Amino acid sequence: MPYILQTNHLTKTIGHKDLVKDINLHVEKGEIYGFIGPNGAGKTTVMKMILNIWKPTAGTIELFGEPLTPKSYKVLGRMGSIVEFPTFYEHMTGYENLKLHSEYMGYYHHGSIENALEMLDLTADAGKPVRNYSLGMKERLGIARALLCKPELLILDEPTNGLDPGGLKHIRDLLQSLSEESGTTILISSHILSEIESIAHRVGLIKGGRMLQEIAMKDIRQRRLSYVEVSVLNPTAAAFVLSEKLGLSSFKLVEDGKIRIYDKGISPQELSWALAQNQVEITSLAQKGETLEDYFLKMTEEENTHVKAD
Amino acid sequence: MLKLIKLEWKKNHMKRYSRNALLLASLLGLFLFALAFLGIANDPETGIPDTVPGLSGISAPIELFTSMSFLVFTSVMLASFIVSAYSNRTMQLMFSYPIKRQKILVSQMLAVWIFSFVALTLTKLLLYGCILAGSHFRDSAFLIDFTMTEPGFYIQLLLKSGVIVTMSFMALFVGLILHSSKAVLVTSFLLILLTQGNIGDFTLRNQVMFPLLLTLLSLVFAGLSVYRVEEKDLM
Repeated sequence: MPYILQTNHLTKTIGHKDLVKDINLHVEKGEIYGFIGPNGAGKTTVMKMILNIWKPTAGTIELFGEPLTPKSYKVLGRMGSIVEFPTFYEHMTGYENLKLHSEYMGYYHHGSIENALEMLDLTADAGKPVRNYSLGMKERLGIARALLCKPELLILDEPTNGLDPGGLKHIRDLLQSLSEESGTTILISSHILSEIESIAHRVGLIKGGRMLQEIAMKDIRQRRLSYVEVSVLNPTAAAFVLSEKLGLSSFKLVEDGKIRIYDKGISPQELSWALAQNQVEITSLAQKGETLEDYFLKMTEEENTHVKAD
Repeated sequence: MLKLIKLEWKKNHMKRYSRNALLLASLLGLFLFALAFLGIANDPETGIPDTVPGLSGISAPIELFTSMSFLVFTSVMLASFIVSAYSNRTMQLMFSYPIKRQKILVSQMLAVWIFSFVALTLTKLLLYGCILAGSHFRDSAFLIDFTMTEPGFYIQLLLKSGVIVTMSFMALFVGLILHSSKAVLVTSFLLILLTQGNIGDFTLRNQVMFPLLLTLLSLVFAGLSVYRVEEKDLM
Protein backbone atom coordinates (compact mmCIF):
# COMPACT_ATOMS: atom_id res chain seq x y z
CA MET A 1 0.00 0.00 0.00
CA PRO A 2 1.49 3.36 -0.94
CA TYR A 3 1.90 5.77 1.91
CA ILE A 4 0.84 9.34 1.33
CA LEU A 5 2.93 10.42 4.28
CA GLN A 6 5.83 8.58 5.78
CA THR A 7 8.56 9.60 8.19
CA ASN A 8 11.74 7.66 8.82
CA HIS A 9 13.59 8.11 12.10
CA LEU A 10 12.41 11.69 12.18
CA THR A 11 14.31 13.54 14.89
CA LYS A 12 14.30 17.14 16.04
CA THR A 13 16.87 18.40 18.50
CA ILE A 14 16.91 21.95 19.77
CA GLY A 15 19.89 22.81 21.90
CA HIS A 16 20.73 19.51 23.57
CA LYS A 17 17.14 18.45 23.93
CA ASP A 18 15.55 15.86 21.67
CA LEU A 19 12.03 17.14 21.14
CA VAL A 20 11.22 14.03 19.15
CA LYS A 21 13.40 11.10 18.25
CA ASP A 22 13.13 8.31 15.69
CA ILE A 23 9.53 8.93 14.75
CA ASN A 24 8.27 6.52 12.11
CA LEU A 25 4.83 7.46 10.86
CA HIS A 26 2.99 5.67 8.09
CA VAL A 27 -0.18 7.22 6.79
CA GLU A 28 -2.05 5.48 4.01
CA LYS A 29 -4.01 7.27 1.34
CA GLY A 30 -7.57 8.05 2.35
CA GLU A 31 -7.29 7.08 5.98
CA ILE A 32 -7.85 9.06 9.14
CA TYR A 33 -4.75 8.77 11.26
CA GLY A 34 -5.06 9.68 14.91
CA PHE A 35 -1.84 10.99 16.40
CA ILE A 36 -2.28 10.53 20.11
CA GLY A 37 -0.16 11.63 23.00
CA PRO A 38 -0.19 13.73 26.14
CA ASN A 39 0.56 17.45 25.96
CA GLY A 40 4.22 18.06 25.27
CA ALA A 41 4.74 14.61 23.73
CA GLY A 42 5.99 16.10 20.46
CA LYS A 43 2.91 15.93 18.25
CA THR A 44 3.15 19.57 17.18
CA THR A 45 6.89 19.25 16.55
CA VAL A 46 6.30 16.35 14.14
CA MET A 47 3.49 18.22 12.39
CA LYS A 48 5.61 21.33 12.03
CA MET A 49 8.30 19.27 10.33
CA ILE A 50 5.77 17.66 7.99
CA LEU A 51 4.64 21.16 6.99
CA ASN A 52 8.28 22.23 6.58
CA ILE A 53 7.90 24.98 9.17
CA TRP A 54 10.67 23.30 11.13
CA LYS A 55 13.44 21.32 9.49
CA PRO A 56 14.37 17.87 10.81
CA THR A 57 17.68 17.44 12.64
CA ALA A 58 17.81 13.87 11.36
CA GLY A 59 15.56 11.46 9.52
CA THR A 60 13.40 12.00 6.47
CA ILE A 61 9.86 12.80 5.49
CA GLU A 62 8.15 11.56 2.36
CA LEU A 63 5.01 13.25 1.12
CA PHE A 64 3.02 11.89 -1.82
CA GLY A 65 5.94 9.64 -2.61
CA GLU A 66 8.48 12.48 -2.83
CA PRO A 67 11.08 13.34 -0.22
CA LEU A 68 10.48 16.64 1.55
CA THR A 69 13.56 18.85 1.41
CA PRO A 70 14.15 22.08 3.36
CA LYS A 71 13.49 23.96 0.14
CA SER A 72 10.25 22.18 -0.82
CA TYR A 73 7.24 24.44 -1.01
CA LYS A 74 5.08 23.39 -3.97
CA VAL A 75 3.89 20.32 -2.08
CA LEU A 76 2.26 22.64 0.47
CA GLY A 77 -0.41 23.40 -2.13
CA ARG A 78 -1.73 19.85 -1.78
CA MET A 79 -2.13 20.14 1.97
CA GLY A 80 -4.40 21.96 4.37
CA SER A 81 -3.37 22.49 7.96
CA ILE A 82 -3.88 23.87 11.41
CA VAL A 83 -0.83 23.82 13.63
CA GLU A 84 -1.18 25.02 17.19
CA PHE A 85 -3.88 27.66 17.25
CA PRO A 86 -5.00 29.03 13.86
CA THR A 87 -3.96 32.62 13.15
CA PHE A 88 -5.91 35.11 11.12
CA TYR A 89 -5.77 38.70 9.99
CA GLU A 90 -7.93 39.76 12.87
CA HIS A 91 -9.19 43.03 11.41
CA MET A 92 -10.50 41.25 8.31
CA THR A 93 -13.77 39.34 8.24
CA GLY A 94 -13.99 35.56 8.23
CA TYR A 95 -14.95 35.66 4.56
CA GLU A 96 -12.04 37.96 3.66
CA ASN A 97 -9.60 35.68 5.46
CA LEU A 98 -10.79 32.70 3.44
CA LYS A 99 -10.69 34.73 0.22
CA LEU A 100 -7.10 35.72 0.96
CA HIS A 101 -6.24 32.08 1.61
CA SER A 102 -7.65 31.06 -1.79
CA GLU A 103 -5.57 33.76 -3.46
CA TYR A 104 -2.35 32.55 -1.87
CA MET A 105 -3.15 28.92 -2.59
CA GLY A 106 -4.01 29.80 -6.18
CA TYR A 107 -7.35 28.05 -5.80
CA TYR A 108 -10.27 29.68 -7.55
CA HIS A 109 -13.46 27.73 -7.45
CA HIS A 110 -16.81 29.41 -7.51
CA GLY A 111 -18.74 28.96 -4.29
CA SER A 112 -15.93 27.18 -2.44
CA ILE A 113 -15.69 29.80 0.30
CA GLU A 114 -19.44 29.85 0.87
CA ASN A 115 -19.38 26.08 0.95
CA ALA A 116 -16.57 25.90 3.52
CA LEU A 117 -18.32 28.47 5.72
CA GLU A 118 -21.54 26.51 5.44
CA MET A 119 -19.84 23.24 6.40
CA LEU A 120 -18.47 24.76 9.59
CA ASP A 121 -21.71 26.57 10.39
CA LEU A 122 -20.13 30.01 10.05
CA THR A 123 -22.26 31.53 7.28
CA ALA A 124 -24.03 33.91 9.64
CA ASP A 125 -20.76 35.22 11.07
CA ALA A 126 -18.80 35.43 7.81
CA GLY A 127 -19.13 39.21 7.65
CA LYS A 128 -17.80 39.88 11.15
CA PRO A 129 -14.16 40.79 11.76
CA VAL A 130 -12.30 37.78 13.14
CA ARG A 131 -11.26 39.73 16.25
CA ASN A 132 -14.89 39.49 17.37
CA TYR A 133 -14.96 35.70 17.02
CA SER A 134 -15.04 33.38 20.03
CA LEU A 135 -12.33 30.76 20.54
CA GLY A 136 -14.54 28.01 19.16
CA MET A 137 -15.48 30.09 16.11
CA LYS A 138 -11.84 30.76 15.33
CA GLU A 139 -11.10 27.07 15.59
CA ARG A 140 -13.94 26.33 13.19
CA LEU A 141 -12.80 29.05 10.81
CA GLY A 142 -9.34 27.47 10.95
CA ILE A 143 -10.81 24.13 9.93
CA ALA A 144 -12.85 25.83 7.18
CA ARG A 145 -9.64 27.38 5.87
CA ALA A 146 -7.73 24.12 6.08
CA LEU A 147 -10.25 22.26 3.94
CA LEU A 148 -11.18 25.18 1.69
CA CYS A 149 -8.88 24.29 -1.18
CA LYS A 150 -9.77 20.60 -1.24
CA PRO A 151 -6.46 19.33 0.11
CA GLU A 152 -5.35 15.78 -0.48
CA LEU A 153 -3.79 15.69 2.95
CA LEU A 154 -5.28 17.48 5.91
CA ILE A 155 -3.08 18.07 8.94
CA LEU A 156 -4.96 19.07 12.04
CA ASP A 157 -3.15 19.70 15.29
CA GLU A 158 -5.62 19.43 18.16
CA PRO A 159 -8.40 21.01 16.09
CA THR A 160 -11.01 20.36 18.73
CA ASN A 161 -9.63 22.82 21.30
CA GLY A 162 -12.27 25.25 22.42
CA LEU A 163 -15.16 23.31 20.92
CA ASP A 164 -18.20 22.24 22.88
CA PRO A 165 -19.37 18.58 22.75
CA GLY A 166 -21.87 19.41 20.01
CA GLY A 167 -19.19 21.12 17.96
CA LEU A 168 -16.89 18.18 18.55
CA LYS A 169 -19.36 15.73 17.11
CA HIS A 170 -19.96 18.02 14.17
CA ILE A 171 -16.23 18.09 13.36
CA ARG A 172 -15.94 14.32 13.72
CA ASP A 173 -18.83 13.78 11.31
CA LEU A 174 -17.34 16.30 8.93
CA LEU A 175 -13.92 14.64 8.90
CA GLN A 176 -15.46 11.25 8.46
CA SER A 177 -17.50 12.38 5.46
CA LEU A 178 -14.43 14.11 3.96
CA SER A 179 -12.50 10.90 4.24
CA GLU A 180 -15.30 8.74 2.87
CA GLU A 181 -16.63 11.01 0.14
CA SER A 182 -13.59 12.93 -1.06
CA GLY A 183 -10.90 10.43 -0.13
CA THR A 184 -9.05 13.09 1.85
CA THR A 185 -6.26 11.71 3.99
CA ILE A 186 -6.37 13.19 7.48
CA LEU A 187 -3.67 13.32 10.12
CA ILE A 188 -5.28 14.55 13.31
CA SER A 189 -3.63 14.89 16.68
CA SER A 190 -5.26 14.86 20.07
CA HIS A 191 -4.36 14.30 23.67
CA ILE A 192 -7.77 12.80 24.26
CA LEU A 193 -8.01 9.42 22.63
CA SER A 194 -11.75 9.00 23.01
CA GLU A 195 -12.28 12.13 20.92
CA ILE A 196 -11.10 10.50 17.73
CA GLU A 197 -11.33 6.82 18.59
CA SER A 198 -14.59 6.44 16.69
CA ILE A 199 -13.34 7.89 13.39
CA ALA A 200 -9.66 6.93 13.20
CA HIS A 201 -8.56 4.08 10.98
CA ARG A 202 -5.14 3.97 12.49
CA VAL A 203 -3.53 5.52 15.55
CA GLY A 204 0.02 6.40 16.41
CA LEU A 205 0.89 6.78 20.05
CA ILE A 206 3.64 9.20 21.00
CA LYS A 207 5.00 9.96 24.44
CA GLY A 208 8.04 11.88 25.57
CA GLY A 209 9.12 12.41 21.97
CA ARG A 210 9.13 8.68 21.19
CA MET A 211 6.71 6.75 19.08
CA LEU A 212 5.31 3.97 21.23
CA GLN A 213 3.15 2.18 18.74
CA GLU A 214 1.38 2.55 15.46
CA ILE A 215 -1.57 0.29 14.98
CA ALA A 216 -4.72 -0.08 12.88
CA MET A 217 -7.90 0.36 14.86
CA LYS A 218 -9.31 -2.94 13.65
CA ASP A 219 -6.27 -4.72 15.11
CA ILE A 220 -6.75 -2.94 18.39
CA ARG A 221 -10.37 -4.01 18.53
CA GLN A 222 -9.24 -7.59 18.08
CA ARG A 223 -6.45 -7.35 20.57
CA ARG A 224 -8.32 -5.81 23.41
CA LEU A 225 -10.73 -8.71 23.69
CA SER A 226 -13.24 -8.81 26.38
CA TYR A 227 -13.26 -11.98 28.43
CA VAL A 228 -14.84 -13.60 31.44
CA GLU A 229 -12.47 -14.24 34.28
CA VAL A 230 -13.42 -16.93 36.70
CA SER A 231 -11.55 -18.02 39.84
CA VAL A 232 -12.09 -21.58 40.96
CA LEU A 233 -10.69 -23.84 43.66
CA ASN A 234 -9.97 -26.63 41.21
CA PRO A 235 -8.77 -25.28 37.88
CA THR A 236 -8.15 -28.68 36.33
CA ALA A 237 -11.71 -29.78 36.90
CA ALA A 238 -12.93 -26.44 35.64
CA ALA A 239 -10.88 -26.76 32.45
CA PHE A 240 -12.35 -30.18 31.89
CA VAL A 241 -15.87 -28.82 32.23
CA LEU A 242 -15.13 -25.94 29.86
CA SER A 243 -13.72 -28.07 27.10
CA GLU A 244 -15.68 -31.29 27.44
CA LYS A 245 -19.04 -30.21 28.76
CA LEU A 246 -19.34 -26.77 27.22
CA GLY A 247 -17.22 -27.36 24.13
CA LEU A 248 -15.19 -24.16 24.59
CA SER A 249 -11.79 -23.88 22.98
CA SER A 250 -10.61 -20.33 23.61
CA PHE A 251 -9.70 -20.07 27.26
CA LYS A 252 -6.53 -19.77 29.20
CA LEU A 253 -5.37 -20.75 32.66
CA VAL A 254 -3.66 -17.87 34.36
CA GLU A 255 -2.24 -17.78 37.87
CA ASP A 256 -3.95 -18.71 41.18
CA GLY A 257 -6.75 -20.76 39.74
CA LYS A 258 -7.94 -18.01 37.44
CA ILE A 259 -9.25 -18.87 34.03
CA ARG A 260 -9.90 -16.36 31.25
CA ILE A 261 -12.56 -17.35 28.77
CA TYR A 262 -12.52 -15.52 25.46
CA ASP A 263 -15.30 -17.43 23.70
CA LYS A 264 -18.11 -15.09 22.86
CA GLY A 265 -20.78 -17.80 22.80
CA ILE A 266 -21.21 -18.17 26.53
CA SER A 267 -22.69 -15.84 29.13
CA PRO A 268 -21.44 -15.62 32.75
CA GLN A 269 -24.75 -17.08 33.92
CA GLU A 270 -24.43 -20.19 31.79
CA LEU A 271 -20.84 -20.55 32.84
CA SER A 272 -21.53 -20.40 36.57
CA TRP A 273 -24.43 -22.79 36.18
CA ALA A 274 -22.33 -25.35 34.29
CA LEU A 275 -19.44 -25.17 36.75
CA ALA A 276 -21.73 -25.49 39.75
CA GLN A 277 -23.47 -28.47 38.16
CA ASN A 278 -20.12 -30.20 37.92
CA GLN A 279 -19.13 -29.44 41.50
CA VAL A 280 -16.49 -26.88 40.62
CA GLU A 281 -16.53 -24.22 43.30
CA ILE A 282 -16.37 -20.65 42.06
CA THR A 283 -14.77 -17.99 44.25
CA SER A 284 -15.32 -15.12 41.82
CA LEU A 285 -16.55 -14.45 38.36
CA ALA A 286 -16.41 -11.24 36.35
CA GLN A 287 -16.77 -9.97 32.83
CA LYS A 288 -13.68 -8.01 31.89
CA GLY A 289 -12.55 -5.92 28.95
CA GLU A 290 -10.10 -3.16 28.16
CA THR A 291 -11.11 0.21 26.94
CA LEU A 292 -8.84 1.72 24.32
CA GLU A 293 -7.68 4.09 27.00
CA ASP A 294 -6.69 1.09 29.19
CA TYR A 295 -4.98 -0.51 26.28
CA PHE A 296 -2.81 2.51 25.65
CA LEU A 297 -2.17 3.04 29.31
CA LYS A 298 -0.86 -0.49 29.45
CA MET A 299 1.29 0.20 26.40
CA THR A 300 2.67 3.29 28.04
CA GLU A 301 3.44 1.47 31.26
CA GLU A 302 5.17 -1.32 29.40
CA GLU A 303 7.25 1.27 27.63
CA ASN A 304 8.15 2.84 30.95
CA THR A 305 9.21 -0.51 32.33
CA HIS A 306 11.39 -1.05 29.27
CA VAL A 307 12.95 2.34 29.70
CA LYS A 308 13.66 1.63 33.35
CA ALA A 309 15.06 -1.77 32.49
CA ASP A 310 17.37 -0.10 29.97
CA MET B 1 5.20 39.04 -7.55
CA LEU B 2 2.89 41.93 -8.34
CA LYS B 3 -0.03 39.87 -7.11
CA LEU B 4 1.78 39.11 -3.85
CA ILE B 5 2.53 42.80 -3.35
CA LYS B 6 -1.10 43.70 -3.94
CA LEU B 7 -2.22 41.07 -1.44
CA GLU B 8 0.17 42.54 1.12
CA TRP B 9 -1.42 45.93 0.65
CA LYS B 10 -4.85 44.43 0.84
CA LYS B 11 -4.36 42.78 4.20
CA ASN B 12 -2.22 45.42 5.90
CA HIS B 13 -4.47 48.39 6.63
CA MET B 14 -3.45 50.34 3.53
CA LYS B 15 -6.20 52.87 4.11
CA ARG B 16 -4.76 53.65 7.50
CA TYR B 17 -1.24 54.06 6.12
CA SER B 18 -2.46 56.26 3.28
CA ARG B 19 -4.32 58.43 5.75
CA ASN B 20 -1.29 58.63 8.03
CA ALA B 21 1.01 59.50 5.13
CA LEU B 22 -1.37 62.26 4.12
CA LEU B 23 -1.50 63.53 7.68
CA LEU B 24 2.28 63.45 7.92
CA ALA B 25 2.62 65.34 4.62
CA SER B 26 0.16 67.99 5.81
CA LEU B 27 1.95 68.46 9.12
CA LEU B 28 5.31 68.74 7.40
CA GLY B 29 3.76 71.20 4.96
CA LEU B 30 2.42 73.38 7.74
CA PHE B 31 5.69 73.26 9.62
CA LEU B 32 7.86 74.15 6.62
CA PHE B 33 5.44 76.81 5.53
CA ALA B 34 5.74 78.34 8.99
CA LEU B 35 9.49 78.01 8.79
CA ALA B 36 9.65 79.85 5.49
CA PHE B 37 6.94 82.44 5.81
CA LEU B 38 6.02 82.86 9.47
CA GLY B 39 9.56 83.10 10.71
CA ILE B 40 9.38 80.49 13.45
CA ALA B 41 13.04 79.63 13.02
CA ASN B 42 14.20 83.20 12.98
CA ASP B 43 16.53 84.52 15.62
CA PRO B 44 14.47 86.97 17.69
CA GLU B 45 17.25 89.54 17.70
CA THR B 46 18.43 89.52 14.12
CA GLY B 47 15.33 88.21 12.35
CA ILE B 48 17.53 85.86 10.32
CA PRO B 49 16.85 82.09 10.37
CA ASP B 50 18.89 80.28 12.98
CA THR B 51 20.55 77.74 10.74
CA VAL B 52 23.82 75.94 10.37
CA PRO B 53 26.16 78.22 8.43
CA GLY B 54 25.99 77.43 4.75
CA LEU B 55 22.53 75.96 4.98
CA SER B 56 20.41 79.00 4.55
CA GLY B 57 18.36 77.52 1.68
CA ILE B 58 14.90 76.09 2.23
CA SER B 59 15.72 72.77 0.55
CA ALA B 60 17.91 71.70 3.48
CA PRO B 61 15.08 71.69 6.07
CA ILE B 62 12.68 70.17 3.53
CA GLU B 63 15.06 67.30 2.86
CA LEU B 64 15.96 66.90 6.53
CA PHE B 65 12.43 66.76 7.89
CA THR B 66 10.93 64.66 5.13
CA SER B 67 13.83 62.19 5.31
CA MET B 68 13.64 61.91 9.06
CA SER B 69 9.93 61.42 9.23
CA PHE B 70 9.70 59.02 6.30
CA LEU B 71 12.58 56.91 7.50
CA VAL B 72 10.61 56.36 10.69
CA PHE B 73 7.37 55.93 8.76
CA THR B 74 8.89 53.26 6.53
CA SER B 75 10.43 51.50 9.49
CA VAL B 76 7.08 51.38 11.25
CA MET B 77 5.58 49.85 8.15
CA LEU B 78 8.33 47.26 7.84
CA ALA B 79 7.96 46.40 11.50
CA SER B 80 4.25 45.86 11.12
CA PHE B 81 4.38 44.08 7.74
CA ILE B 82 7.25 41.76 8.56
CA VAL B 83 8.59 41.76 12.12
CA SER B 84 5.17 41.55 13.78
CA ALA B 85 4.08 38.94 11.26
CA TYR B 86 6.75 36.73 12.82
CA SER B 87 5.66 37.49 16.36
CA ASN B 88 1.90 37.16 15.81
CA ARG B 89 2.49 33.98 13.82
CA THR B 90 0.81 35.11 10.61
CA MET B 91 4.20 34.39 9.03
CA GLN B 92 3.65 30.73 9.86
CA LEU B 93 0.44 30.95 7.87
CA MET B 94 2.29 32.63 4.99
CA PHE B 95 4.96 29.94 5.00
CA SER B 96 2.29 27.26 4.72
CA TYR B 97 1.48 28.45 1.20
CA PRO B 98 3.04 26.93 -1.90
CA ILE B 99 5.19 30.01 -2.41
CA LYS B 100 8.92 30.34 -1.91
CA ARG B 101 9.65 31.98 1.44
CA GLN B 102 12.11 34.39 -0.13
CA LYS B 103 9.48 35.52 -2.57
CA ILE B 104 7.03 36.14 0.26
CA LEU B 105 9.52 38.26 2.18
CA VAL B 106 10.68 40.18 -0.87
CA SER B 107 7.08 40.93 -1.80
CA GLN B 108 6.48 42.27 1.70
CA MET B 109 9.59 44.44 1.54
CA LEU B 110 8.67 45.73 -1.90
CA ALA B 111 5.10 46.43 -0.82
CA VAL B 112 6.47 48.75 1.87
CA TRP B 113 9.21 50.19 -0.34
CA ILE B 114 6.90 51.13 -3.20
CA PHE B 115 4.30 52.67 -0.94
CA SER B 116 6.80 54.70 1.07
CA PHE B 117 8.74 55.78 -1.99
CA VAL B 118 5.64 57.10 -3.68
CA ALA B 119 4.43 58.75 -0.48
CA LEU B 120 7.78 60.40 0.18
CA THR B 121 8.16 61.62 -3.40
CA LEU B 122 4.66 63.07 -3.45
CA THR B 123 5.20 64.70 -0.05
CA LYS B 124 8.40 66.35 -1.21
CA LEU B 125 6.77 67.55 -4.41
CA LEU B 126 3.92 68.95 -2.35
CA LEU B 127 6.29 70.77 0.00
CA TYR B 128 8.51 72.20 -2.71
CA GLY B 129 5.40 73.20 -4.65
CA CYS B 130 3.80 74.93 -1.67
CA ILE B 131 6.96 76.81 -0.80
CA LEU B 132 7.46 77.87 -4.39
CA ALA B 133 3.85 78.98 -4.70
CA GLY B 134 4.05 80.81 -1.37
CA SER B 135 7.20 82.63 -2.39
CA HIS B 136 5.27 84.43 -5.10
CA PHE B 137 3.16 86.11 -2.46
CA ARG B 138 5.47 86.51 0.52
CA ASP B 139 9.15 86.77 1.14
CA SER B 140 10.66 83.56 2.44
CA ALA B 141 12.93 83.71 5.46
CA PHE B 142 15.00 81.00 3.79
CA LEU B 143 16.59 81.22 0.42
CA ILE B 144 14.54 79.57 -2.34
CA ASP B 145 17.44 77.46 -3.57
CA PHE B 146 15.65 75.20 -6.04
CA THR B 147 13.84 75.43 -9.33
CA MET B 148 11.09 73.09 -10.33
CA THR B 149 11.57 73.55 -14.03
CA GLU B 150 14.78 71.58 -14.42
CA PRO B 151 14.73 67.80 -14.87
CA GLY B 152 17.75 67.58 -12.57
CA PHE B 153 15.57 68.62 -9.65
CA TYR B 154 13.24 65.69 -10.20
CA ILE B 155 16.00 63.18 -10.74
CA GLN B 156 17.66 64.24 -7.50
CA LEU B 157 14.35 64.15 -5.67
CA LEU B 158 13.65 60.61 -6.83
CA LEU B 159 17.15 59.42 -5.99
CA LYS B 160 17.11 60.93 -2.52
CA SER B 161 13.70 59.41 -1.80
CA GLY B 162 15.00 56.05 -2.94
CA VAL B 163 18.03 56.25 -0.65
CA ILE B 164 15.95 57.11 2.42
CA VAL B 165 13.34 54.41 1.87
CA THR B 166 15.98 51.79 1.11
CA MET B 167 17.89 52.71 4.25
CA SER B 168 15.05 51.40 6.39
CA PHE B 169 16.02 47.85 5.36
CA MET B 170 18.93 48.16 7.79
CA ALA B 171 16.43 48.80 10.56
CA LEU B 172 14.39 45.84 9.36
CA PHE B 173 17.39 43.56 9.54
CA VAL B 174 18.13 44.56 13.12
CA GLY B 175 14.47 44.03 14.01
CA LEU B 176 14.47 40.56 12.47
CA ILE B 177 17.64 39.56 14.30
CA LEU B 178 16.30 40.77 17.63
CA HIS B 179 12.71 39.64 16.92
CA SER B 180 11.52 43.06 17.95
CA SER B 181 9.46 45.78 16.31
CA LYS B 182 10.84 48.27 18.79
CA ALA B 183 14.35 47.49 17.60
CA VAL B 184 13.31 48.53 14.09
CA LEU B 185 12.21 51.91 15.38
CA VAL B 186 15.24 52.47 17.57
CA THR B 187 17.53 51.59 14.69
CA SER B 188 15.73 54.01 12.40
CA PHE B 189 16.31 56.80 14.93
CA LEU B 190 19.98 55.88 15.14
CA LEU B 191 20.15 55.99 11.36
CA ILE B 192 18.76 59.52 11.41
CA LEU B 193 21.44 60.58 13.87
CA LEU B 194 24.12 58.97 11.75
CA THR B 195 23.04 60.41 8.46
CA GLN B 196 21.55 63.76 9.32
CA GLY B 197 23.37 64.81 12.47
CA ASN B 198 26.65 66.60 12.75
CA ILE B 199 29.57 66.51 15.12
CA GLY B 200 30.99 69.99 15.19
CA ASP B 201 31.47 70.89 11.57
CA PHE B 202 31.55 67.30 10.44
CA THR B 203 28.49 65.75 8.93
CA LEU B 204 27.92 62.85 6.62
CA ARG B 205 24.96 64.64 5.09
CA ASN B 206 26.76 66.26 2.24
CA GLN B 207 29.25 63.59 1.28
CA VAL B 208 28.54 62.54 -2.28
CA MET B 209 29.65 58.92 -1.91
CA PHE B 210 27.84 58.44 1.36
CA PRO B 211 24.27 57.97 0.03
CA LEU B 212 25.54 55.54 -2.56
CA LEU B 213 27.44 53.55 0.03
CA LEU B 214 24.45 53.60 2.36
CA THR B 215 22.11 52.34 -0.32
CA LEU B 216 24.46 49.52 -1.21
CA LEU B 217 24.82 48.60 2.43
CA SER B 218 21.05 48.69 2.89
CA LEU B 219 20.60 46.36 -0.04
CA VAL B 220 23.13 43.99 1.49
CA PHE B 221 21.08 44.01 4.69
CA ALA B 222 17.90 43.47 2.70
CA GLY B 223 19.58 40.46 1.12
CA LEU B 224 20.71 39.18 4.52
CA SER B 225 17.14 39.44 5.79
CA VAL B 226 16.04 36.81 3.28
CA TYR B 227 19.27 34.83 3.14
CA ARG B 228 18.74 31.09 3.59
CA VAL B 229 15.29 31.72 4.96
CA GLU B 230 14.06 28.52 3.25
CA GLU B 231 16.32 26.36 5.35
CA LYS B 232 15.69 27.94 8.72
CA ASP B 233 13.19 26.87 11.33
CA LEU B 234 10.36 29.32 11.72
CA MET B 235 10.38 29.97 15.44
